[in-house]
Amino acid sequence: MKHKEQPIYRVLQTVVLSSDRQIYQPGAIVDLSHLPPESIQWFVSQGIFETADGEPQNDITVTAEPCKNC
Amino acid sequence: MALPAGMSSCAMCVELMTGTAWVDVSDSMTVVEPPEQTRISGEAYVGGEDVALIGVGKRQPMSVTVRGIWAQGTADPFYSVYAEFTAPCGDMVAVRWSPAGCATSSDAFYTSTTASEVVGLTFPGVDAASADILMYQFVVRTPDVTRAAWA
Repeated sequence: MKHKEQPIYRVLQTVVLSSDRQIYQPGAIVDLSHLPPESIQWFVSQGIFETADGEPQNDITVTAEPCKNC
Repeated sequence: MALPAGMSSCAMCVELMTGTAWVDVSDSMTVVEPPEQTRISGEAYVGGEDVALIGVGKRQPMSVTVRGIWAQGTADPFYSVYAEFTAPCGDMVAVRWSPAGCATSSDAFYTSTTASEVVGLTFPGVDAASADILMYQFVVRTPDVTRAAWA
């Protein structure tokens, strides 16, 4: 069974994540699960993030079993 | 023509980093003076022209001046800055300020997180004839200020 987790993103412009207040430089891989999908889409449209293609969490061919009781 | 939106400092946010974590000190900071960075330049003149030739070099380091409200007790940010300033050979204090607040979609400006040093500290003074709030001020010398987006 295919299982796609929360996608993670590659930083394209320097950002400060409100989730941890840390600074991330272009190229960093970040978890944006603290943001609603529409906010992520806006940031992607502004060229601040892109989907980190090739990262295991973004690979729809990953066939991990879903967790139980989670 | 439309007027630009413009904005004030009403929602401003200021943070300090003295180790590895940023700490929001907005409740006691009042001013981050607009820092200016300059680039080394040179000039030369020739006989046939009335104006100069301009040469440009590297960007020079810059100073960021921050003013805050002083309070007693070592929990006050003044003492974090004081501790870094008085450490032998000095220690790092980075400053980050966000004009629209520390919130998603705001812009932030920050001094280097590896090479910012406190090079000046103005202590709170006293004046029996004054009712002014006691303040302090410090100056951070940094090679650069970077813009970031809050997300």
